[in-house]
Amino acid sequence: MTITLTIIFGWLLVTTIVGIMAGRNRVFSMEEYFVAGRSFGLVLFYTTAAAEIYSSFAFLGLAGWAYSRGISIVYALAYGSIAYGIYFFLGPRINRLGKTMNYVSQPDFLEDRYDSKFLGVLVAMVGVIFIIPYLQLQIMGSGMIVQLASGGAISWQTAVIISFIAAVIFVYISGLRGIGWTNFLQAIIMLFGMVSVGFLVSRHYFGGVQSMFETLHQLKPTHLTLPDTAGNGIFWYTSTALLSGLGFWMWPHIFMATYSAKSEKVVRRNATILPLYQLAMVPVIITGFAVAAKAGLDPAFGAKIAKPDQAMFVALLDSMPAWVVGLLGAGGLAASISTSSALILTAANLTARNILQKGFMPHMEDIQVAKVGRLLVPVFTAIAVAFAFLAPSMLVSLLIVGYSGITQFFPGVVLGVFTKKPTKAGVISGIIVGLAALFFFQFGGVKTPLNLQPGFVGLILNFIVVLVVSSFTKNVEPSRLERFEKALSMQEGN
Amino acid sequence: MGLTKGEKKALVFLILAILGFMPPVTIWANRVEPYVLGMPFLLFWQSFMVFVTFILMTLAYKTTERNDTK
Repeated sequence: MTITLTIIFGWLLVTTIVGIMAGRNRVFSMEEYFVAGRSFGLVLFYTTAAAEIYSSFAFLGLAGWAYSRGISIVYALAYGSIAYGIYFFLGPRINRLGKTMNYVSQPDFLEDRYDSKFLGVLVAMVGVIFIIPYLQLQIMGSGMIVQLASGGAISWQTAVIISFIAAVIFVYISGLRGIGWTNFLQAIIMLFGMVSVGFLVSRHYFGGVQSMFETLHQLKPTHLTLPDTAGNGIFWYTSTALLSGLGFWMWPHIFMATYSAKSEKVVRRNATILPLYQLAMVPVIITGFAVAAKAGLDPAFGAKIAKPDQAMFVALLDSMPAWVVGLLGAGGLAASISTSSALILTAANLTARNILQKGFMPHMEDIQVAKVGRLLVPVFTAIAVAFAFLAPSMLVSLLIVGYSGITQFFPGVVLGVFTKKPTKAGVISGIIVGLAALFFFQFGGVKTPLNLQPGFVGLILNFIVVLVVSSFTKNVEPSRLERFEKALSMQEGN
Repeated sequence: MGLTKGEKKALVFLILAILGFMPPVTIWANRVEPYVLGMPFLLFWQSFMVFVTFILMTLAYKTTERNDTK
């Protein structure tokens, strides 16, 4: 076994133990398992939120996109900022609703707000479906790290299976509290590690960041500016940044994480400081460009990168001591696995509780729901692994597919939290029209105008449909609106 | 429902932050030169805006604190 791989597996063992310790001595309950008893303070909640973001997407995907597609990756910097800004207003309200109405999952809120079982089941199903590409991304990323760290001794397929098993074990032993604590550890490694290494790679090959960019600009003159309309141009950038920025908090697992915060103040203060965390993405993006420049000058180096998303790790292996790569690989792998487990946990919970129990089998007891949820853990993971084998794709593309689906919840959530206007019929038809537009433009062979992101076009239509349909359909009964209005009056108890 | 008094004021900061990432600002920032901190201009601008967003949201936080707590 290589030094790199030894460190990676060692770290995995340590995080597993931490996960077990964190989960020990706590009574198993739905609230504890899924929202950590609503007890996360500022630091733990911050790192949980931050590590959700800092997954395979950030460690490998950003660099892969910068390496192969160029500067349009800056959409990631834009969307995070938009997302946290919106969270400042939306987050405290979701946290409050979770607390006062005892919600555990995302559909709980929508079902209750619009008095519609159907909407609850629909949102749960759509959530589960679009979690799959996000989970696939994490599992592909983990596989890539293990495969490259082994120096080719472990095949990609075997590596994917190893990360599959690790993720399932991780979910079984810890629940959200375990995820929170291990995230805290790896957030520290990734934050300090990636920032320094990101600059060191450019220095190693080119003596500095600017000389690297100047070389790259000469080699690939169009790599560092957005084209006007074609490809990943200005319109692609704008629509993708908005789609993802508005959609970020619509991810079922991130929505749920908001319930886990101890107080609204914790949520709001997080929203204020989270943008800073994104600066850690910049060195990763720079490294992606450094790989593009290096590969342009040195075809033998370029040939080592079989898939664009390997760019970051290939560069680390080529330019850094084995123990540094080991630590970073470990951080990256743990980030993927903990994000995977949050996703798996959420998909299982949504299916068992919101689809099966609430939608079809109301007589099911909570303990049975928890059991079914646990049985579903390997099932969802296996589905994502199957997609990784059958339909591999670039990590960033997978993330955008996920966003295109879950962002369709945005109109119903935001209008439902801030206004009394939307009706059940409006929100349901909005989601359906949004998804239909997404599928039409994604798979129908028709291109969107100006290369806008298909999910974004769906979102616009979704908004229009919600407003129009709500104007002539029946609103929920006044007592329900009053209950929400009372819960959401933000003046007291900040 | 709706925003509190302080939040209404704070919303201005969010709008400013979002505008910094959107056209026409992006169209203006879409260039390689000048290099700032070693980065081509568009990458620098986006990173700079992340930092600006943090400052703006801090101001938003202070604004809601001042207006909404008694």
